[in-house]
Amino acid sequence: MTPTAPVTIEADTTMRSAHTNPVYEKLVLGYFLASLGFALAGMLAGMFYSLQFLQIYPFTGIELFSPGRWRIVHTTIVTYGFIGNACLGALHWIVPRLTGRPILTNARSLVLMMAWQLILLATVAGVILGQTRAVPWGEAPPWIAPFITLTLAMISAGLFIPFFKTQRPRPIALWYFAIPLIALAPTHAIGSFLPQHFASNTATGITGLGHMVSLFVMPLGYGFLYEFVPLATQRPIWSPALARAGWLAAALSFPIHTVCVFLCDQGTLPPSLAEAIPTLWTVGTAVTVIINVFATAINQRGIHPAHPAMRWFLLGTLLYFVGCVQNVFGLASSLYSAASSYDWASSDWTIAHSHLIAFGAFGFWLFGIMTYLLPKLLGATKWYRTSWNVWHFRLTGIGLLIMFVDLAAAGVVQQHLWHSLTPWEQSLAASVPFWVVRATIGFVMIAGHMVLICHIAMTTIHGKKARTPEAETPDTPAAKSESLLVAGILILAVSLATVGFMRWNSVATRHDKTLMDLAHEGVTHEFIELAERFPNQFYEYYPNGPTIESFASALALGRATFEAEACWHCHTQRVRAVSQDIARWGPATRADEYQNVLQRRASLPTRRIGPDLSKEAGRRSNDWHLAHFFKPTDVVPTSVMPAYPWFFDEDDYPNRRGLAVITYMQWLGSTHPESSDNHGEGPHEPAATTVGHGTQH
Amino acid sequence: MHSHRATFATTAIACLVTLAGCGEPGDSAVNSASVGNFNAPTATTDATTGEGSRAYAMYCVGCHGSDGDGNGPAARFLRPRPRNFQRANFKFSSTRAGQLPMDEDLSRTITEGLKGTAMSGWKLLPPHTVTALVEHIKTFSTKWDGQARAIALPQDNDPYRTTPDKTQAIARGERIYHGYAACWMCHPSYISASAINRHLVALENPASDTFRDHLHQSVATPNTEGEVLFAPDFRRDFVRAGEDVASLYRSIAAGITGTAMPMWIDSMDVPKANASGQLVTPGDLWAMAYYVQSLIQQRPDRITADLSNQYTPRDRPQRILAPGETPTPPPQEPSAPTEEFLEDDEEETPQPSNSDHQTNHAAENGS
Repeated sequence: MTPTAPVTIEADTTMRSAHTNPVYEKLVLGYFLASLGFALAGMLAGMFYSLQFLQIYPFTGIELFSPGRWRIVHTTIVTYGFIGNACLGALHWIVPRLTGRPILTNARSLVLMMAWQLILLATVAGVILGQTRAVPWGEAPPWIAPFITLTLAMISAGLFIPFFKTQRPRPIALWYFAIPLIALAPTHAIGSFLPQHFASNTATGITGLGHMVSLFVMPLGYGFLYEFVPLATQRPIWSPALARAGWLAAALSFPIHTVCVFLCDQGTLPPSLAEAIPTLWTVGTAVTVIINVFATAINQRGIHPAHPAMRWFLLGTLLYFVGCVQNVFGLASSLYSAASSYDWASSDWTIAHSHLIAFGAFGFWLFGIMTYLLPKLLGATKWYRTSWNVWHFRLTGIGLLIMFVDLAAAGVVQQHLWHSLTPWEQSLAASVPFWVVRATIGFVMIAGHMVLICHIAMTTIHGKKARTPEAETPDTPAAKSESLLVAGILILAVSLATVGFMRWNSVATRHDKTLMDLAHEGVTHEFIELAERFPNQFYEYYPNGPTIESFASALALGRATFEAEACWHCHTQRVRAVSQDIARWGPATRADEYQNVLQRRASLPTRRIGPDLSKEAGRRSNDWHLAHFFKPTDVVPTSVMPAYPWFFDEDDYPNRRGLAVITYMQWLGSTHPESSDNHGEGPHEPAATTVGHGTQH
Repeated sequence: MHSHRATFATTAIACLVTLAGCGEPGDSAVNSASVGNFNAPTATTDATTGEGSRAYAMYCVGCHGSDGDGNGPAARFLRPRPRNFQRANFKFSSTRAGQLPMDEDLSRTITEGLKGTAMSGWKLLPPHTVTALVEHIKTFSTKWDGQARAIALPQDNDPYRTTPDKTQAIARGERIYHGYAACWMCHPSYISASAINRHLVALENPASDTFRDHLHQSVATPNTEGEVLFAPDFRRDFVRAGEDVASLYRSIAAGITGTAMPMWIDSMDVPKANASGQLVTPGDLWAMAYYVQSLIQQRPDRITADLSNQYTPRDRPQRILAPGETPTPPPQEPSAPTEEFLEDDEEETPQPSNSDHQTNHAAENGS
């Protein structure tokens, strides 16, 4: 997987001086192989994790294999390991090729690549050991986060220098890459470092999905398509003008998103519009590339994939279009009636969407790039067997399509059940058949991936060696004027700097309540009850009994445990301002409820699998939580929550973590005026609770 | 291209198969208990095969057990333990002690839950499911067979209902609580000993010169399920069956079956008169309910006071049973002591020995 360093470097340096090939191909190969390895691991992690939903998780009760933690492993290594490595590999191939200049020195590039892999492995280890934190898309342990920012800064600087220095006209694909190269490091710093140490998440986090889309998925994906679709079809892009328009739209996407969030926070823009405008902008941008890709691929004989890679580009683009339609559909339903809207974002509808875009669109584009480049990088003229390419495509493509249809349908069913205010247990039970399909189809996708890995091995061993470096097709035509490029970059840079400053400023001017502030608001009855019921355990950890200080310490550990076990991925701490949420869990959450040191990180999970917890205090008793943490299915037979036996000692009494996490549960929302009325999940309108009991008065 | 056509054909077939599978979630074995809401016909379905048993298997079985014996897999953690439906001793009812509860009582407990216990309020269950559950609960005990329908105690005789200012009711309630019903035998007294004596004398009872130790704290007493529980301290504990006046009245009037809390309605349903006028009336039950509610309203949501003073933790460790271990067998005859307690509505009631229970706790805790 790792190229042998010294010899290669020398060889490549001589090549570069002769201006033959500025691409350090072994580095690209290294990135690709790492990417495929992480993809396999990520798919396996996802499949194992999906078994938890069927109540047949094989490692139940083993702390290091807790499904919650492996959920983070799944998303982290798929995002940063599979997609991240593949993007970096592709960039390290495209940028030198289009600029005619190498990237850093080979040795430095190699060190950075190795550092990136080390960081990913350390992140996985940290997550498994329970050091993750509730920062969406930034779940790496706090001590790793600065290294990520630093490494990303160095890698993107290395890529940006040739972009900046090149004397050649810059083809359109390069334009697109300017956006992620500028945004990569600052985004990670703002989105990951600040929430950890300072800022709250009263506004949508910068690393939230919207920004992820506008800064990375869109520009990277479109750039790849504009580079590789002409290469694979041997035909120039259908409309360079449309591609340039798309670039400007992509560069404006982040500023527009940011302005909408800002105006929404200020109360000037209703939340529905703040969601609708950036979404529609994104979809409009997407249309430019979708049209261009299909128009380029179509000739007189219809769609004709000249190269095996074209299958991936075309299906990926088609799925991207489906994803856009899906998004607009969800949006339309919430615009139709915001107050009683379906909460698509919290259901498997979202999981369908994220798999469709991250794997189906973006992943497929990357598979296309690898299908195109890998034989060359392996030194072969072509793949070992074309039919193996087809099987990789079939198994992966069909698997993903079924997963998407299955999860989208699950989302519709879940939405229906949530919307009609049936008890939560029913939505879980009704989801099981869909989850069976999802877990099963995981095998198919992994089989497809294994075909690719075997194919690489066979191509390496048996592939016909290429005698001379293969010549690529001519570059995509470059624009005559680069003023649009400059304008877009300026706008983006200014908006990133503004966001960074505003976030910093909001940190400097706002005071989150400290732990002791919270504790001084009062100890909960439930905390005292824990001391009464489990004196031996309680006084072992808190010798002074239930005091303000011990309460603060238990709260801190409880919240840390809540983050470490990734509880926040399935449980929101935010009652959205939609009728079904309010009916179940009480009044919609206000931003100031989060202005404390415990809750300033993620209150927005990716998917609401369990109930909202923002007003959990007093809703259930301590002993209910005890039994439930020990083994959730003992209490709720349909539950898919993992068991946490490591919150208990050998006699099944709660240990330090067990006491702390229950303390935290019984604190959530306890300062809210309505919390004392909470008991069980159910209608919170006063009118509804008195129905049927009028005769008693 | 051949491979393409094959790909799309396979995809299409696979999608159809998936959709077909999605159409009938109820068919899955894993899901057999799931969609009771949708195919449930009416509330009168046979409870053992229909909606009642399905809903029971989905919502209740974890704590109450598949046999209704209150020994589900989660029960070993829970204190108080889940109700044993086979014994059919229901704590919270609007019927006389010893009688089975009304259906409304059971459905109220299901929908509202029991605050401070693991029994959640199942407010989102549709009414027909609740009715089916009530019917299903009755299948666990033969006590329900052929029993004449119990009659609820009167609940519409609140004399203070129309008075917006409840000060008078609360003052009257305090007098009855301390001077007539002597609730401070188990619950805390919320006034001084001399003030209790003033109330006793005002209601023509002899003043007392000795009071129990820790008069301002609750006393723990065993219930028929073999658990030692503290009588609620209203300024501190949740009241299980609801904190509105109607619920409090119901608990006072009907008592709490299986515990030391007696039924008070017989002591006050006929006005007791003396030369100076009426001593107690049925309305005094309501006065006590208003008084207790006023105490509950003094309970702070969060405790900021000096914890070592008012909120000393009470010694009530409860052992977590080993998996599969059966709970301590309860004492045999549950109703007799309650009846005795009822008939002596004065101070002669046997006072539970506090120190005994303390040692019991210590023993339990040590194991």
